[in-house]
Amino acid sequence: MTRCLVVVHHPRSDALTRSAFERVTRGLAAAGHEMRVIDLDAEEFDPRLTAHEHTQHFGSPADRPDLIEHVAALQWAERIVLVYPTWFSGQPARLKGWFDRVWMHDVAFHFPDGATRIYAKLRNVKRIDVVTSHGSSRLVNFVQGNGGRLIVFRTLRLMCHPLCRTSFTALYDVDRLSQGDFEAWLGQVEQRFSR
Amino acid sequence: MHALVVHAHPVAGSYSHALRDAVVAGLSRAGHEIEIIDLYGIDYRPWMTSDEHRDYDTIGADHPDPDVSRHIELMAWADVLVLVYPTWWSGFPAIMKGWLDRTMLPGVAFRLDERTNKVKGSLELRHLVGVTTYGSPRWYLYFVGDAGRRTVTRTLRMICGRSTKTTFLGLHKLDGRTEAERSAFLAEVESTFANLDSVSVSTNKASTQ
Repeated sequence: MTRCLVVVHHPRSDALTRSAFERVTRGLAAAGHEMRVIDLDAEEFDPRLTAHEHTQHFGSPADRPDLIEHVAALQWAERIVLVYPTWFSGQPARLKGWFDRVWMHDVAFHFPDGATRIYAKLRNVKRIDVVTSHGSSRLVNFVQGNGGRLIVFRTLRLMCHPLCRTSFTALYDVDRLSQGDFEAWLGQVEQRFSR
Repeated sequence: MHALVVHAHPVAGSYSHALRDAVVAGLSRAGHEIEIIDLYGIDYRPWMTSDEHRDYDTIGADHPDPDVSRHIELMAWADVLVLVYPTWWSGFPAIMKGWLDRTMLPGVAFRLDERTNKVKGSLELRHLVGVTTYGSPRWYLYFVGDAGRRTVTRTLRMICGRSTKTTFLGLHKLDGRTEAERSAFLAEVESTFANLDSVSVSTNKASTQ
């Protein structure tokens, strides 16, 4: 039994991303995992890092009362599951801003006095899963450099446990697929998360 | 030429603002016309609404958000697009990422081929330029992959025309820099923009300082 934090973003309730999110949670529940969900749209999360947050970059999460539940969820999680559409080869603004604002000093990393670099602090996170859909093909995403995937699996992962594992469940070419293709993929998603 | 400078930084008086000023100084020295979009200054909303997403294929023709419709007009006007931003978690700040998501619409930046449903780029730019700062040293960015830079030099570049020149200027390890090093990078940025016309090939470099 693992403590799983599922973060989902898509502006539309009828989107494929939302169906994938339902399958992820169903799978995790079936496998008996503990779960917390952050639905960035339901809570109208503002992704814009503020001037105060920037000037207090090395401040404490105690200064950010509006983010306290997000911070607590991040510190609680052993596994993070991100469910989002890939736009312009990366996370949509709302999810990118969740990284910008919540993965803050003294939560995701720390910067001791006199240090010359930051140190990872989310050692509780031992697994990160990404579930995403792309309008373009796998080849186009390869040429574009898979920026969104790099941000999660390299940059953010480096703040987690050194042996943190990753998984990437992606659907490409969504504009050219049929309902049957979607169903098949959603089935794979549920199966993967119910293990 | 017509230059559109898009800038994202929350703190007035930041080094990023000085970079923006250097870009503008260089461009005006060369006699270009300049428009600036200060995303934090106009309190830009970077997330798409449900309606915007539903109407995604056609909304660019008559966008209900006056900010976005103005930015679409500016994109049609611009020959040069400059993105000035700090790199956070190796990518764009959310407000800048959302500017791409909401402005680079079908009919504005690309169209979908009716037969194959594939994206055909339609950004008619002569120059596409990214100017950024990083907290991390250069080797670290090589290791993590520099997603923000890829978004400019690959993802955006792919929807531009054949003749678009791409330039990318970045200053690594910003916090460890002396005043002299910071000023030198500002001067490098200004001179790059004052001499844009002489850029004949794409340069995709980080500052060598």
